[in-house]
Amino acid sequence: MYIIYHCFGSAHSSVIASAIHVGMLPTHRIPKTQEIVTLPYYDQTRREEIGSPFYVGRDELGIEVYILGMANNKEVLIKSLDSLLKIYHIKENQLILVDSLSQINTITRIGGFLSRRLGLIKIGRPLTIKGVQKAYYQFVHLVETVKDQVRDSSMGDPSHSFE
Amino acid sequence: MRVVYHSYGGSFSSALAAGIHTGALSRQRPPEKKDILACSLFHRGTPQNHGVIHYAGTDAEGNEIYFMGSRKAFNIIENALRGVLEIVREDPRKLYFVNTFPITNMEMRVGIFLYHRKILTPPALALLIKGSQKAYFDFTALIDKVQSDLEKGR
Repeated sequence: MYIIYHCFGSAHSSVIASAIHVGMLPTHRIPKTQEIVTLPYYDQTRREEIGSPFYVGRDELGIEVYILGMANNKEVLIKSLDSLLKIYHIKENQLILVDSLSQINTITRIGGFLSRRLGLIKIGRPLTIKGVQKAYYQFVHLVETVKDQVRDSSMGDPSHSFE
Repeated sequence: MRVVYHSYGGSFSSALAAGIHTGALSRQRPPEKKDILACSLFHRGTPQNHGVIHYAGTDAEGNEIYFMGSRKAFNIIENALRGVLEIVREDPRKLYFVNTFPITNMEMRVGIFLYHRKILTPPALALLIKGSQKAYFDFTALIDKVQSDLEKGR
């Protein structure tokens, strides 16, 4: 089974959510600036890398977690990914797409725009971190919901085993 | 191999290319209006199903032929599809993408634009068919090139 957290540019919200999922960030306290800024891919993804999935790590069940930026083409992209899975006869529940953009707040949005689009990293990056810290427990909640879903779906399918 | 022809809307130029490749349309002469209207590959793309990959058939060598509407996001879609294939441990090189938009001519582009906005539908369709008859041998040349690429890649 594979989980892909997707957002606009795979630079902020999907990085945070996936890091919580694989245990790189704590679930019971708000992480410090240093912990966020040192995450792989955090506020790093360039414009031309949007669309390419990046590997983040494995969670405690051995499920691979990825991040993906979809820009403004979420609907088209999700439909084509669904078609692709059908063409390759892969069960739909093998690939879980999670939209992490819904958890993002205005501060992170503005910071992300300044840093990624305009290249004003010095102003933008601290803003994104402030925004993430403010909305941190929403991300934790999202990840917990995803993990619950994964547990439920894997229990209903006895043929599936986590290596 | 799997070949995916893609255009903006996935309803006309990519369907035409897929139709030629699978043999649903003759390569010797441009199709008549009634051939195009009778061919089930057309009229599948609507704005609601942009992104869906439609199956067109298999060619003589057993390659599976598909077509899709990719709006203007094709680079992102291609990156994502290939990336996800790597994730599920499939070979991304077995998927071959062909953009059919560059070989459409002005008549086709205007016809498609009007037809999809439901403006002047009968003249738009006539224009579209006239344009595709005019560009038909550009399409067959493209498909010949695709097939020789597939032959090399084997």
